[in-house]
Amino acid sequence: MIKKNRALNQGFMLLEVAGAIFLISFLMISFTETFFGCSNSILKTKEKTYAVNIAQTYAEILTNIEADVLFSNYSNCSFEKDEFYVQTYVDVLTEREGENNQSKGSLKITVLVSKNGRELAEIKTFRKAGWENEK
Amino acid sequence: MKSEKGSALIMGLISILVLWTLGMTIVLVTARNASARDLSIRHKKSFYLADGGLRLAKDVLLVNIEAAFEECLYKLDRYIDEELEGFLTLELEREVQGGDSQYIDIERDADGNLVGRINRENVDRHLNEIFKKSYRDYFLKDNRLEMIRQLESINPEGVMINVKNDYIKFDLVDSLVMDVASSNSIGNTSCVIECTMGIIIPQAGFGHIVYEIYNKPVRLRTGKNEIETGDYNMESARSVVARAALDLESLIRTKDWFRKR
Repeated sequence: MIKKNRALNQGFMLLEVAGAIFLISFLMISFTETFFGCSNSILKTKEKTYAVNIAQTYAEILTNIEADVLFSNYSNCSFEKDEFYVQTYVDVLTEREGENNQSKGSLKITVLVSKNGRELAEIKTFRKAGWENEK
Repeated sequence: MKSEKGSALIMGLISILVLWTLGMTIVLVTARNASARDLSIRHKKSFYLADGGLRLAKDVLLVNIEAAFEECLYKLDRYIDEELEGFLTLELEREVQGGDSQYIDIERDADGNLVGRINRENVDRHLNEIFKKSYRDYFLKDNRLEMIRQLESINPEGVMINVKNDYIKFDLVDSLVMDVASSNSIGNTSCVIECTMGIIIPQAGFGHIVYEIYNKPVRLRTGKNEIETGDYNMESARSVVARAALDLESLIRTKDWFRKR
């Protein structure tokens, strides 16, 4: 009887240990997964924020530089900044005749920042300017 | 030994609870952080669109200022051509009849002729008042609704411009002012920028307008010894051009700029 009880106890013990190991490994795996998921999300958000900051900086620059420099350097242009790829576009929204055979009107400025083909940030804004008629 | 039985279970349960709470906290903090950053990014995007909207509104004002200048200078030229001489003649008559005209001064020249001279400063002021009146009428009467319609029809990339109360009024520094709000929404995030935009009324005294009426000596000559009422030989320049000598963009002012979320 005693022998039978001991065997039963040992069986239960084994079951308990197995259950504990299973539970602990399940917890560890889910915890690690959550931890990595969160870290990844934080990194991605940080990357996106950095990309938005770059887009913001260029949007500020492009709304304040001279129209000639804007058209010659940043109209439909792309370049690398840190590990990001920056593209800038300038579209003419309205155009009217200005002085000395020039045009003036309003422009749409788009700054697109991407990394490895993944679009991370896009900032659009507008400005008014005067420019040569050929634009 | 007997009393310690089951303590492992309790410890295990507590550990699980602690770990679970920690995990959930990390998940919640990260999720909240991510959504806050997403919100901030959307705010930045809509801010740049709304801010750009105000620049487009300024361009619409500039177009209207250019048109106003063209029309008002045309009206002023016509006034100088058609009415100024009559106005000055009446002023001369008033001066001759003993009244005090601020536009004409009578004096005797070396030959004994009575000569009426134009008071350039006051005539300038008179012309400026004529110009200012037609400028005010342009914005407050003739084209007020059209300009507001133009402003409110600005809508690229979902930007909305609103002229509050459809109202343009005078402020104390002689300009036409209106409260303008530019807004943009991305998802449930929106950014509204409000400001007061002003169109300054040009002033001849500040070099805004140069009247070329005095490009040759201007004299109002009357009879030799006595001043006669009737025909006066006016040597004022005809077909006078009044031209704008300023950067029209400097006539637009923005103040009280603030952002609402």
